[in-house]
Amino acid sequence: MRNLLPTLAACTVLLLAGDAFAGSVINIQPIQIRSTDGSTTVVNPGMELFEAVGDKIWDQAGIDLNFLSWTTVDDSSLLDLEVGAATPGTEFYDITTDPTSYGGSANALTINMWFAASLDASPGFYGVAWVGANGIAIGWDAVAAFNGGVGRLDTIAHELGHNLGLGHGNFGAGGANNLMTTGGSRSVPSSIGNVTPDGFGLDVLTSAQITQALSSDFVQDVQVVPLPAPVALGLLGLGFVGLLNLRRRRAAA
Amino acid sequence: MLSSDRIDLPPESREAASPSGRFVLSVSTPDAWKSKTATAELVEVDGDERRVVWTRKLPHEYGPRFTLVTDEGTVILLDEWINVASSRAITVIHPSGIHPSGIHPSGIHPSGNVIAQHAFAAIPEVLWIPGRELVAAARHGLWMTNPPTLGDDGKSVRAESGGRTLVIDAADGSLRAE
Ligand SMILES: [Zn+2]
Repeated sequence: MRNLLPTLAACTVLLLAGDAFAGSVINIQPIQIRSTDGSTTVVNPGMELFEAVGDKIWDQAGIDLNFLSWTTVDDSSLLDLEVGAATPGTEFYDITTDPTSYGGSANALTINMWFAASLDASPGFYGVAWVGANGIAIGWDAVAAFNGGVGRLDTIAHELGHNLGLGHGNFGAGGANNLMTTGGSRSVPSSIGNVTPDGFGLDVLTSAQITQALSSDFVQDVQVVPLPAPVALGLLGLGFVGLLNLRRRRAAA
Repeated sequence: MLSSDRIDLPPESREAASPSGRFVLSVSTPDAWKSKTATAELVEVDGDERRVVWTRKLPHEYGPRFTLVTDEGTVILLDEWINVASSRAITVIHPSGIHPSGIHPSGIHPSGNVIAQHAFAAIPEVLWIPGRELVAAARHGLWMTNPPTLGDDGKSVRAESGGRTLVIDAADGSLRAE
């Protein structure tokens, strides 16, 4: 319930503005892998454009991406993250199956997304994810340098699709303009203006992909019906208390 | 099950020959693609002799996707290895150019003469088909439905896209639709 209170506060604000809000959200915990002494930072500068592109892509399914505050894991050996066969004892397997030891969220429904410098030391390896299960790693150096430094703008959205149960060859993937098409065949937008429904219409999701994604436990529904103003005001106050509680708990942590 | 977003990088060296075999273009990486740029070299083959016509670094990311060579030694490069709307979707290089700095240091290996370069944005305009339709139908990179080929006359390149054919004139690098 305490987790719900801030959400209620947000919804209440919308209600006071006269809008009903209904939609779905994925909570994502971004985790920065740094050197053991914390001096080497992988993601610098921020990734607002990548988040915006991800949001626009997943808006096709009515899903809002909610990126939580960054956490870090300081371990130089993880900067080039070993994916390999993803068996026990390999790094990607280990961090995704024991996320809280590596900066990940304790909430099983919050998707953990680690940002390494590289994956398997391979320059063409941009991201990796479990299909239908929690855990993503991004090879940030390759993603950021892609296309002359524009960046491989849809990798984050693509990997989220895997966690939501989508593969490269099912639910209608395969066309060059589909988000879930395999890396070598997918056309990648050079700007947010070429993400569907605009421009060249890239990173499309089929209706079958949307149906599958929405059935994932990681997608949490947020539905609020309009309330009379006095009730809404009361909820706003309740939500404010919840926010204070959250801040207190974060400060304590 | 694990899945990933990755691309296979091109081989470290590849060659394309003109129809008669007189000219051969090689595209290679000097550093296993660490620098992401390729070096191209056009050679003229005469019996056992191989004369370097030109060499140049290519700005295409991981090199061009497709390379074709005419029997006149004109090189046509299409797209970059990565699947993006490239500013160098089509590049036409003649063998008669001189090095931009004047005389090439070695005196014998000019870098070729880029007579035309077209961004992807030019292609929908020539074909009269919206870019998003070309992109939706593409099977090879951003816009082509089939690998490009040299025309029967040996003086043009034909690239299919969105149900039409883009013709690139090797003589002047101009584009037209068929
Ligand atoms: Zn994938």
